Amino acid sequence: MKGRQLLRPWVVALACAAGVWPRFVALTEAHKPITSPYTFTEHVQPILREHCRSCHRDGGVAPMPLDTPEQAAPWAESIRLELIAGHMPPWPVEAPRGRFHHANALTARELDTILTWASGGTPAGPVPTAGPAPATGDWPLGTPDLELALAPHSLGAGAQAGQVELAIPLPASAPRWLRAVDLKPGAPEMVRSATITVDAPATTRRGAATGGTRVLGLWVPGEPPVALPHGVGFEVPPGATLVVRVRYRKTWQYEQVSLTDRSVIGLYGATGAPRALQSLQVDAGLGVPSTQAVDGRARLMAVSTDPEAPEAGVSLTVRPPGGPEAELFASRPGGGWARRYWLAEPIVLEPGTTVTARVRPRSDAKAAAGSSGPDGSAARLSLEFVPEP
Amino acid sequence: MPARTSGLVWVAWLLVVASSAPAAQRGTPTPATALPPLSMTCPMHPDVVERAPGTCPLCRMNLVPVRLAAAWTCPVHAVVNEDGPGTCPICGRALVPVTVALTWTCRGEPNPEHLEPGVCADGSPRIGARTLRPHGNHNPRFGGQFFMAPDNWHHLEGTYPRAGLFRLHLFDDFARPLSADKLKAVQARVVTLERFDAASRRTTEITAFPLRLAADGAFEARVDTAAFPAALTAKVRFAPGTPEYRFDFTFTAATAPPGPVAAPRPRAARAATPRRATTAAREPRRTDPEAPAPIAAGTGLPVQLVPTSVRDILAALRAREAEVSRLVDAGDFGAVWVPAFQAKDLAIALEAQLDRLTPEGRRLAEPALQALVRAAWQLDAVGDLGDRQQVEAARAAFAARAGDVERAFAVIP
Repeated sequence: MKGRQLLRPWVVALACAAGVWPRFVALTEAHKPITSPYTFTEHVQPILREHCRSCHRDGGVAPMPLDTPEQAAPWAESIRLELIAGHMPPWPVEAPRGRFHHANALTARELDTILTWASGGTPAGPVPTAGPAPATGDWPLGTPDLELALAPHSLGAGAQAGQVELAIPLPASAPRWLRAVDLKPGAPEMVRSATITVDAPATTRRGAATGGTRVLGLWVPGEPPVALPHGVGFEVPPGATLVVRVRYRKTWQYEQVSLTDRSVIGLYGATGAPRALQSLQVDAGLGVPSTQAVDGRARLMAVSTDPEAPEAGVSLTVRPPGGPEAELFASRPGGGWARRYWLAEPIVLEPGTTVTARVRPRSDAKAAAGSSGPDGSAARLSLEFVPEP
Repeated sequence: MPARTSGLVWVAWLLVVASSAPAAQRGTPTPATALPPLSMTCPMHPDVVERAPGTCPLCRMNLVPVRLAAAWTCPVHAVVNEDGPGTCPICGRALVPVTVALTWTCRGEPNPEHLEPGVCADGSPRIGARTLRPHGNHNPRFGGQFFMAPDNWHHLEGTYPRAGLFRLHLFDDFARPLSADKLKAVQARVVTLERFDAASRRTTEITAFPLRLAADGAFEARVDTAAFPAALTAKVRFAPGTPEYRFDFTFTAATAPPGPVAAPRPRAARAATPRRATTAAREPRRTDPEAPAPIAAGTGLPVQLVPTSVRDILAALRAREAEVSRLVDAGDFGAVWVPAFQAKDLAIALEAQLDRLTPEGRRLAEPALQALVRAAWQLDAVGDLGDRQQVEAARAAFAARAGDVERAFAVIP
């Protein structure tokens, strides 16, 4: 602009009359359409690597990698919409950083940085000096003690989604106690989620009410498993059966393409004589909160959402005896993923502590999510705890 | 840029424009070293703009290069085309920002259009042209309220020139008036009273008036609303078999032709709030308290100085929330993004203070800050569309999150 101010009107007038105006105005600098002060390589890529790359990478479960500006820029508008709607990253829990393992919530600044970049011309930025994004291993916890390959399952060209439930009798060599369970998808582009349970031999899956079925793992893409600490484990009775329910949904590139998955389950044994991780189920309906009391002293390790009803937004509060009620967990509609939210620091619940689950009203949950997705009217949470002496 | 330039200059300039560029606005070729970068766009979907070559995500056509820039034009005299804010040399109105494509041609040879300046075969320099881009101009032409239809192509402006008369101007994606054949296909009415049943989530119209095409190409209806503020809802089907869209207008006074007041930015030009001074010592001195706040370069957003104390930030946040509510209540949806974006910058400033909170305070504050930023962007997104229900929902989320933020940080002195 300063160059423009040097031009006196009569000079400009003569220039225009002479048809050389463009030469004079060429002294000015046009406003660039790229208005984002944030560039991909300098500001956006580090955020995407931390929060998105576990899925959005070559060979990942997401339909598009976002490792480079060339890969990400064409998806800028889609990224903008997903972020504003609160759909991505898929972490529907409102909690401070550090409360849960692998929390995948963006900070306010991170969210604004990506939105600004996506709306402001998607500038690429300088060529990065850092090396390529790190490779992601098949088994984040290392090689499992036992790998069990599932039977192949295909989705034909005309099928876009489906699910399969497979029962695998555990071999005698299987660990009696497990510290973690994981799944390695055979066809990541179609494996949407999985629920891994163990059935005790004396019961059937239909007899879950007898306590014979235990959820070992809720697998969702891009989220590494959490191993139980030393001294805690999932008990696997001799002769038990592993039941794996895998939900499939193809990404859009594979519409009308036949795909076959052969995922592998990895079991990680626990050492020593651990105490069993136990589960307390809390059900709530819209306007009908549910309260459960903790009988003895317990160490709360995790909160799980129901694999079959993951859409509801729910809040979970804890009230110690004689103490105030405090919210431990508040989720927005979950986007179709059931999860187990592992507390980074387990919480000791004193005897007589009550926990209350409430389904969040539509207005609250959706306002928080900025979402127009389906409603949930009921919620089932499982408190995963270890009895304390 | 000088605030005013002599009329002689502009007459001479307009002569150059008129003689060389009938189809586009001629103006400012930029030297190669200062050219805006090339972007890639779809020949069929010009609102698709990508940074790298590829195919259109909508129709798979190969993308073609385009050089985009921001320019400033008069809301009434579109021939005025400047490279910065100012006033119209013809009528004195405040210029409004638009997005243009830069091309260069040679005299007498409109094709091909080049994407950079250069020299023509006869030795003369190529002539620069600025061509308005789709969605490059979301500024009201008639002093009314301007919205973009959810189909992302139609635009409209409602005016209320006097009590009892509602007028609706329809535009395409370049903010040009719709052609006569397209106008004939439009079915529209204006609703002055309707009832919403929360249980069934259905809306029943009580009083509605058909919008009829007037001789000047606008639709108009005489309505039963006399007092201000006048709340009217236009329901428009742009062609048979297409969805009907609603646009909620609120007029606090009779619509007057645009005056010298800056209008909202174009959608395409909205983007980042630049980093800005965070201490009062860096605040630019404003000698005229009545003067509008300075505009942050490249954004159109009035410069906001973020206070340093939490108490002052919260006070500023309350003020932004109140401004959002005032604009929503007034039906000025297109301006809501300004206080909303200012509020998000305040939220980001508060994020640096999280360490001063207790764990319980952080539990409240962290998601609230993130949600407030998201709500601000949501307000920006829906503000253009003119659907009061969407705007109200976004406002409610915004207000709720602003309240959460205030509760979480109120403990900090």
